[in-house]
Amino acid sequence: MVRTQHASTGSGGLWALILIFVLLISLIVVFSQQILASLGNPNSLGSVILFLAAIILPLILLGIIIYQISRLVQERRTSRPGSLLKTKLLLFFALIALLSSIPQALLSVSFINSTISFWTEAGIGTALKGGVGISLDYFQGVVGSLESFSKSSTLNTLLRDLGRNNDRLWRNLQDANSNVHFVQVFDEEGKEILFKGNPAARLPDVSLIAGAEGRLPKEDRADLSILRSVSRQSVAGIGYRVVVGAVLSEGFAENARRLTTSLETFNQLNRYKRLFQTVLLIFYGFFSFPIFLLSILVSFLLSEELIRPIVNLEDATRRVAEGDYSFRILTRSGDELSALVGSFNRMIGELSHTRQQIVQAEKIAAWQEIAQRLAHEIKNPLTPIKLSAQRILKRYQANPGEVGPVLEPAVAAIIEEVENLNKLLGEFREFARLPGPRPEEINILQLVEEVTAMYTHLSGGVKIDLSHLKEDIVLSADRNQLKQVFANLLKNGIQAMPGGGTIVVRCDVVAKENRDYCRIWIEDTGTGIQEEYHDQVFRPYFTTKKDGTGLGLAIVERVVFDHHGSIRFETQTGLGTTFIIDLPMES
Amino acid sequence: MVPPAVPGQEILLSAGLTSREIRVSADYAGDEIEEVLSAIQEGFKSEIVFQFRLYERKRGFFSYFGDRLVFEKSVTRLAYHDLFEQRFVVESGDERRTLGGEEQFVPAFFRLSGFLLALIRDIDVRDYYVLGRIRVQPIRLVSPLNIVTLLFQQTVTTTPWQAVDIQEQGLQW
Repeated sequence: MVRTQHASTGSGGLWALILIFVLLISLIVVFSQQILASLGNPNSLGSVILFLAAIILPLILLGIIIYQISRLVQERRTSRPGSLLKTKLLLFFALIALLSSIPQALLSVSFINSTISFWTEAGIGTALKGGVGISLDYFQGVVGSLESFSKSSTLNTLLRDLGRNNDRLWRNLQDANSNVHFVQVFDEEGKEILFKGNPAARLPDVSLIAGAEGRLPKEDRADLSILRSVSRQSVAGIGYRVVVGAVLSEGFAENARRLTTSLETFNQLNRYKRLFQTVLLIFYGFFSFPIFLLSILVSFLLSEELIRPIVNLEDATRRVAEGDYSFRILTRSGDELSALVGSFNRMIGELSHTRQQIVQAEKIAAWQEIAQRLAHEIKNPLTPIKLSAQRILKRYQANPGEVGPVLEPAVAAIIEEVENLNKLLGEFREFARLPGPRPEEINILQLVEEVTAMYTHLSGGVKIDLSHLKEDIVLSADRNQLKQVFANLLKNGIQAMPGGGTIVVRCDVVAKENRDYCRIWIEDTGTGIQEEYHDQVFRPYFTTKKDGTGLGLAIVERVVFDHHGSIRFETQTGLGTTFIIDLPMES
Repeated sequence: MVPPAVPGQEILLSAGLTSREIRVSADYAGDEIEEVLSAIQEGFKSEIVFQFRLYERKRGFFSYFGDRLVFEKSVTRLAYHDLFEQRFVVESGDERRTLGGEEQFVPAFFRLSGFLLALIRDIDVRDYYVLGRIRVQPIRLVSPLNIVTLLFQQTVTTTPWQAVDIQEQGLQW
């Protein structure tokens, strides 16, 4: 069965960050275009939103980053695969973000400063003040001219044509003062006697100037401004109220308002230039800092995305190295890493296929070797059996009466060889039919004590030291098979020390690849194993002993492998041998 | 007649009941008057905001939750000097007043008299009181310069909230 693992997942986080980024950019646009105008009022909605966005958003992002960093530190501590590469990628991305934001910040600050300096340069202020001054001069000139003309005797002289020749009166008025754009005359009863000039300036009612004399306040209309000067005149003993006025050029009021507003803005900018620059820089920081934090978060996600397939590959490679060829990696992306994953999967498939073929070939080779050895082992006793039988037959044919002395040793030899054959076949059957382990909770100390008790009578001058065995180590394994392991190893140790010695059994719990193992050491002080035999120690039917079958250590190795453990040995000729077994605590 | 300000007191406040109308008067007595006059003469616009809140007193257990805000109103005035007419101008909403000299301008800008805060019916005014404060900005900053007020509050002066009882016999001044 082929098991799979996804090489690329978790793009939801990236989408969330993109969403936050878009939100941030939208906020910046809205602030710069609309809300900025209402920020002067500290109670405005814009200010509230700004402070929320400027304080809470970076805090949230900062919190997430701190969490991610603490996770990364934890991963580094536990040596999680890929954590070092992730750290390097993260630092690399952060450096890029920093390197790109520093020139951007410098450029922005420089741009802000130069723009403000440009707008506050003395020339603009002088021009604005000059414009306002010209407007004022023009205005005051017209006002002064109207006032003085209104009080002058010239007006009274010209008014002599009133009622007699109004057109001439109007022509003479315009000739006398070019600033007079209209004239309106009321009698004592308030009745309009004359109106000449721009009709837009006509007063509908005398009550609007009741009691007024001299210059009237400027009247601003949508598209024009009107100046009036009122005087009392007496012509031929009759009293009149005479209004002379000027209609200022179209747009004068609006342009004057714009000028004064611009001058006010200029003066404000000039006065608060430093504060404004500082505030703009703070605002720049408010918005650029979250973006920088956001880029760090994106770096986290990107580095995670980048290392995930690599970590999966590493994991898969480790599993394959452990012998699990059923592992495959799935990938959805179509990049180079995906091609690498595809190549890896193909390689594992081919490796698995090749391995199966090798295993099959090894099995055949092993069985051939076993068959050869078995044939050899069987053939060896057959020769003395045959010789003994031939000896009996020869004596019987030569002298049937004297067969007795030959018969007994020959038959004894035949029986002995047959027993050897029987023993050999029994052990072979035991090796060939070794069942799978049936795990149960086993206390190592108790188990070894049981086995040691069986071999006390065989140990002779050999001492078995169990004092280094911990009492509380319990693992899950097949009791009988494990007994056989200890029995074979203790027997081997005893046989390796014909002159006596000590066998020390120790055990401890060790961690390997996130899994706990029970490590057992069986040390003897025997003759050691010669170097040329090191590769053959666990091979079936290999033995250096006269009466050995060569299956003892082969059975030990097989039991250990069946328990997903491992066995190795350290030896030195003349000093002794230590067998080291690692068995998983949980089966 | 407005009573003289106590040293350190920046706002004078009075509230009174006149035929179902709660009216308030407020006068600014802070140090920014000269600053406002100076700013206006320099061609800037000044702003003053009168803020009023009508509260109902809570008694007994409910007093722990604070008094109830019944009504809130504010009046904003903008003042500047008309260079062409050489007169002070005070604008408030659609209302526009032109004033000849400082002696007319100062009360017209800094004092709010008989402002209608709320219309009431069948209540005991002793259960109510008025909070008032004044916010003065000698130079009313234009946008986007006004963002400096967010971080540099020295451009704006705001008096503390001051509480006054509502006088049943009407406004004192």
